[in-house]
Amino acid sequence: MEASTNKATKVDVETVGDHDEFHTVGTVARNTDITLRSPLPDSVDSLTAIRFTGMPLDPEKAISDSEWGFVLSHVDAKLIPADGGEPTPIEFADVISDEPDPFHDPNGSLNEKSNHGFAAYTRIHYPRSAAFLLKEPLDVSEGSQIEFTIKHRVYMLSAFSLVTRRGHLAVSSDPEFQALLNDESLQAQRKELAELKSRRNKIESTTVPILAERESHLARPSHVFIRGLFLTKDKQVQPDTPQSFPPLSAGDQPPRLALARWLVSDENPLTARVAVNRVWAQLFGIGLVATEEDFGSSGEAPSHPQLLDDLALRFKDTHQWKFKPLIRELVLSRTYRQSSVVREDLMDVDPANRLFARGPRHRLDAETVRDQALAISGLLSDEMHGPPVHPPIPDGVWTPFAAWDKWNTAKVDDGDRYRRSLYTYTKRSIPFPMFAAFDAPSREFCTPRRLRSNTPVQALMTLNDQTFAECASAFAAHMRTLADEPSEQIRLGFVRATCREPSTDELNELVGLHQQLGELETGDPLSMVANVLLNLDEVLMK
Amino acid sequence: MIDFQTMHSMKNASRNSLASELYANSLQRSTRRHFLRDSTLGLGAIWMAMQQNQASARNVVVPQHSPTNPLSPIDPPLPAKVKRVIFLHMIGAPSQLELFDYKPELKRLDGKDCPQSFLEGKRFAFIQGTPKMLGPQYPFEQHGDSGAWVSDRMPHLAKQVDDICFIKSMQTDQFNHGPAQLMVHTGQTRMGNPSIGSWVTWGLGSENEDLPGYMVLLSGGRLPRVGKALWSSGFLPSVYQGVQCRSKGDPVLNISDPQGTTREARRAMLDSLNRLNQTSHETFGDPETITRIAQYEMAFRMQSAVPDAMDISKEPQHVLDSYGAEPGKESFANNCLLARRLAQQGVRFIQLYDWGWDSHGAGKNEALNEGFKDKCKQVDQPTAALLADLKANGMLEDTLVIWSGEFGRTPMRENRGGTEMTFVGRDHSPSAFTLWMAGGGVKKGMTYGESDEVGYTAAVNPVHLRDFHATLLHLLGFDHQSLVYPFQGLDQKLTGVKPAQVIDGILA
Repeated sequence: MEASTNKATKVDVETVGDHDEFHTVGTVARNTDITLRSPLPDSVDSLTAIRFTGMPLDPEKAISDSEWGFVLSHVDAKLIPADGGEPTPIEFADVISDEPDPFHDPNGSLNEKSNHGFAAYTRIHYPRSAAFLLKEPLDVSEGSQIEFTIKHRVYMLSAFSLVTRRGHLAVSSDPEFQALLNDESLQAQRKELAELKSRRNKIESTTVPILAERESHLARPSHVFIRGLFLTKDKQVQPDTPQSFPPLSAGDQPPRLALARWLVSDENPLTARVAVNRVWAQLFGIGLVATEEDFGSSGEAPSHPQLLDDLALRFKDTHQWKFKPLIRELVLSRTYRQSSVVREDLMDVDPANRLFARGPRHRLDAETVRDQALAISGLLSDEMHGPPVHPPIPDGVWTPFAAWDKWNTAKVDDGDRYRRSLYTYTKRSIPFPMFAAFDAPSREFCTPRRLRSNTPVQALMTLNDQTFAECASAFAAHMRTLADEPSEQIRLGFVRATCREPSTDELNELVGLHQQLGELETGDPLSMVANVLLNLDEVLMK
Repeated sequence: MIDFQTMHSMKNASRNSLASELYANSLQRSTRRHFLRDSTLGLGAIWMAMQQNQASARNVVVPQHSPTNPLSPIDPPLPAKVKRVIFLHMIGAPSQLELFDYKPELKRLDGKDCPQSFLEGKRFAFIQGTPKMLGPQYPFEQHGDSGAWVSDRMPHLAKQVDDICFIKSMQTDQFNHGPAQLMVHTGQTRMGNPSIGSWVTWGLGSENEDLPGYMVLLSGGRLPRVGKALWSSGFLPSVYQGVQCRSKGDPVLNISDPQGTTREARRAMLDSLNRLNQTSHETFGDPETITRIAQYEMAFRMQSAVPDAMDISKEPQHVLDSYGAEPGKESFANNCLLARRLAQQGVRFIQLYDWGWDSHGAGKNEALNEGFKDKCKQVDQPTAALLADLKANGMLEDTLVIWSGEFGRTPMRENRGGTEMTFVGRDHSPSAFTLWMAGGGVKKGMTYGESDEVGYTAAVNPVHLRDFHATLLHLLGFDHQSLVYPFQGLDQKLTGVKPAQVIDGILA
């Protein structure tokens, strides 16, 4: 076989086993056409089909680390007689590929208008082949050659050309192929399939793809990654649990079902412990196991191991894995209902309240700080579901790399401006400033536990940010509807913000501030008092 | 750390008391690695935990900030040559072959096919097929007493070479912008790790109570590709994240009071708020409340200190002229001048990003023979002025100025799509690039390391970014092996898990 290209891509041919194989050398150019020219075996006197096999450049390595695949955008074939006479174009009727349900129709390779066709799209990890069936059997004279040109027109991310890196050809003279083309029962079945597909497409359904396990003979081998890097592989491993855990039940197939059963089996105490510990941490501010994300040897031992086990067993058995009764049990406990006043004698002994001698008191999470301000001020929209929303964001923050990624801030009369923080549009490279300031993770890593910090940037946020300013105004407007007298408005506002009556001193302080601000004749004094209420330590803390 | 005997006797004394045993156990645990992650920050708890000197056995440095100020200035554990850092990052990766790394051999090969040995086993962002070699696009000359080679694109900087230490054998693992930028600034290729500035402000705090300790200034019209991940505090508390200063709108987010709130009104509000929070503290006894009062006060001071520090119109005209700065514009020149002002005021880590150095040649703006010239013009004078200004103020002694891209560029001409392009450009090249430093602790007028004869890979004294990180921490008074933070079961370091070495050869 000889191989050549129309671009800077270099190709070589080598003999592998019983056939010649072409492969590219070095980098490949976009839109490369590769032309293969090969004499036909003497045994072939009539040509009925050509099989093309596309392979990874490094077939062995690709089984674990796939390579960029290929797309045969177009295929051209000719029969060249031995005497060097006029070549005969070879006409194909059908392409049969090795995939039952290919992403693109392999017949696209025969269609000049389409750039798609038979493909390993977008990755290749094992050899792929397709048979190109001739319209009619073609008589072959001795010494003729075929010329088979594969044209690649697809590339990914403007840089990665989907060009076949390695491959070989085979030919057939079996008349069965043409019989297949003319087989009436097959045609009837295909027609029926097409009809059924078109009916199926009319049924409204989700387009979310579901991962399915590969056939075992195509499965990717799994290796231990040295230092977690997928490029540095250690020994091959099989699906199983770590040795320190109970084994998977051998009877369950496939292994994912075994894993699901294992997770909740009686022999595995970990799932329930981790789950109740997370709920505990949400309510109390710190878990019984402080390292919520790590119950292993580098994690911390539980502060109350028996309590953790008791809760875990009850969660699994009594509550049947239901969270609601667990949460109910915890919030009704005497431990949770304790006063959060710090006892001075315990401050030195247990500053972090690991022994739970007092009730929880910790700063609210970023989303809760914002949602609470919206709720107190009466702005919070309780609408649920739907696409993410774009609340106000300071000018100049939203500068995404891609120009199409727009932040169209919801208008003042649009409830989406005040939806729960959960619905806020998220982009890792431009975190929402309010969340970033209040220790929300930027979602690069799985972060089961957040650190809480206390910074001036947070103060600037809740004092000055547009959303918080709107909350203050709305809160003031709401207070005005509650009573006529400013002092009464302020008292009721305080109750709304803190869920308790202000002391006389506290009320006097705020009423005095209101008066002082009124004398300064700047903005609306009640809005500024509202701003103070929303910034109270007691409001920001649980 | 509680020593064994103390704990033993304590246990004996109260053997029957469950509470005491739990206490003893908790102390035992607090001697383990988790003290830090378990505490809320800026709170008495963390300070207490630190007093227990938990980690002495592991030779680990734990910065001990004041209980109420997580940015309180502290001395580094080792002698330091540098107190603050100004990092000038040219986003996109400027071509070392057109600026500092002079390669006569490449000139000779100009226009010839690239040898296959350069291509085998390499991955490129855009080069396809067999590209042509591309000679230096600008003439080079030697400058100063040190005789450093600089091209004619940096005439101002060329006058400062005797204060500069060039490293021409820099290497990174990454050939795409995002991961490579992360590699420079966080030591890792994925997002979510603390940036150098975060490690440094965690380790040293800030010398100015009214300004953030770590400030970020942007120019060039666009954000770096991975955005704020470059100045993220990662798994460190968010108080150590870089604060982005802006030339439009508020210089720092939310630094202005809402419309209608005067400073006087704000003061009255904060006075009231503080008194009410004081009451809360008296009721609940939570030290976190005291910290909160302190943070609101710092926020108030920042509101006047930041706009003041950011106002370059206060500089005399001759200073503005020397930088080429124009108040009110977004420019690298303004940012260089701002960097000097912030450094003067004790900001610990000042990070500049200038976008627009990705000279592929796929368009006019990013062509070595077009847009690159403009970029050089935009940074040459201000960079030189910054060095001269710091020197004149005596600040170059204990300030470190770093200039770098995220990788280098290929000695081959880029041939996107396998064809010759209209404009001249080079592709990404991670195996050799030039970084320079000037200031405290590094040798002046020095060139360290060499790339091969065409500037493709580091040939003499290769310096990986990890070595650069180790050296930077060394200059600031830290052993890179000791400044660690436990996260995800690993003692995380800026230099990562692979070995890193301080570059002794450049230390003054």
